[in-house]
Amino acid sequence: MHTSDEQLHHLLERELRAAVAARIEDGAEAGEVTADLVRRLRRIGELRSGPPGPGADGSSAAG
Amino acid sequence: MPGGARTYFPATALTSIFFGSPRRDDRATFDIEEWNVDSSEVRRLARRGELTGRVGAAPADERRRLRVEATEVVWPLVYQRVTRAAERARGHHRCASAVQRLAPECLDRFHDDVEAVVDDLFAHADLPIANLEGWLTMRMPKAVIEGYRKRRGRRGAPQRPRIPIWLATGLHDDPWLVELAKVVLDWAGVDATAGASLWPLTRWAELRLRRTGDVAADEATVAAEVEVVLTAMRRRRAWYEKNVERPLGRKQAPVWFATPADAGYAEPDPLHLVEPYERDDALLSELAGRAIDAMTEQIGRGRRVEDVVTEVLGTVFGAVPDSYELDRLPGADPPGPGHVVALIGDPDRLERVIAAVVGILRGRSGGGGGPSEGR
Repeated sequence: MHTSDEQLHHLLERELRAAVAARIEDGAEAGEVTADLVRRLRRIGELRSGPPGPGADGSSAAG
Repeated sequence: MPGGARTYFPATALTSIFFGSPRRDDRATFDIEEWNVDSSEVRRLARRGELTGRVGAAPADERRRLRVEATEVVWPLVYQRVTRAAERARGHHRCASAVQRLAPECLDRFHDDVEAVVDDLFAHADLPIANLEGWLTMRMPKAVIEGYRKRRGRRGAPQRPRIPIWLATGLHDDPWLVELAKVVLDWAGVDATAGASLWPLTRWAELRLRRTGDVAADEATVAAEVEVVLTAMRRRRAWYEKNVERPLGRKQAPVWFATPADAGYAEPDPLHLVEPYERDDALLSELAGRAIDAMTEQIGRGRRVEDVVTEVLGTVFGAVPDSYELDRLPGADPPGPGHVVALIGDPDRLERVIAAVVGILRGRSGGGGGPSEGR
């Protein structure tokens, strides 16, 4: 039985793989796609190191 | 050598030529063993059982000098007893004919073996050694193997590659594939390289022929089988990284020397330790993993699941300026929107992915609408 993390990982990886394959099929170069993935990876890193969300101080998050 | 048999021969005119006329107090016989002993401090110390102690206590300069002397004694023996036989077995007949004819990679192996035997001598010569060559010859096989294991250990490879049961099972206990897995592990931990290839497929194809008798199989067959083995190994990522990737990464990339025979040919492609598709697979997996970490972290900070998923998946799949990070200094704000590219161009599809991820995350946090627990 898969855990929710494994489910999530599997889902995201599958979608990423499909998206990359579609872009390659559309004529994108492999190196260009790889560079794009690296850019996204770095942006995710910035999201993680960003400021705390609005609920971090104990207040409830808005709708 | 008190009480032992000595080899004497008469002091002939020949020895007089080399050593001058015997003085009145010289013996009428010449002791070649004694001459050998006196000619080298290493021999003298070994004869007295003091070599190990002296090496341990000596300053760096003296240790270096003793190592040079010991190497002079050791290398001819290593070449005769170890290298020559190994090179013949490899089919390197030129390398087996003389030290000067060793190919570069074979010369490296020879140097490693000499170093190993000298290390062994320095570590164990704490008892009187009357016949240094005989003693070295006796210890040489063990010393060479020990040196090989130490070098593997320094590279982070297992000293004695063994196939775990889960791997053998993953290879359906196929005898050849299990053996191939072992030679892959073995190869990952040695200094040698296979020219411009990552694996010595020719040698393994010959091994395959000997093991299976299948004459139809060639290097391409073995290359495909290596992929089967590696795929089975990668099922345990941490094990694979420790036993294969890390030691492979420490191999010295071969240098291409242009020779007259190469005139007109382009320099071969650089050696890739992993294939491009493997690198991209790893990148996709890492991106998915980091996205999950980012979502978990943000939700743990009290943000709404929907907001977090939309933001993070927007970064993973949505439009990102392609100039991002290329034209700004570290720490500067991202540039304004320029030419943008989206990994998932269809908004409906992206919405469906977001909805699925939100569903999983809500399920993880017990089905509530509030923030999930951190991972």
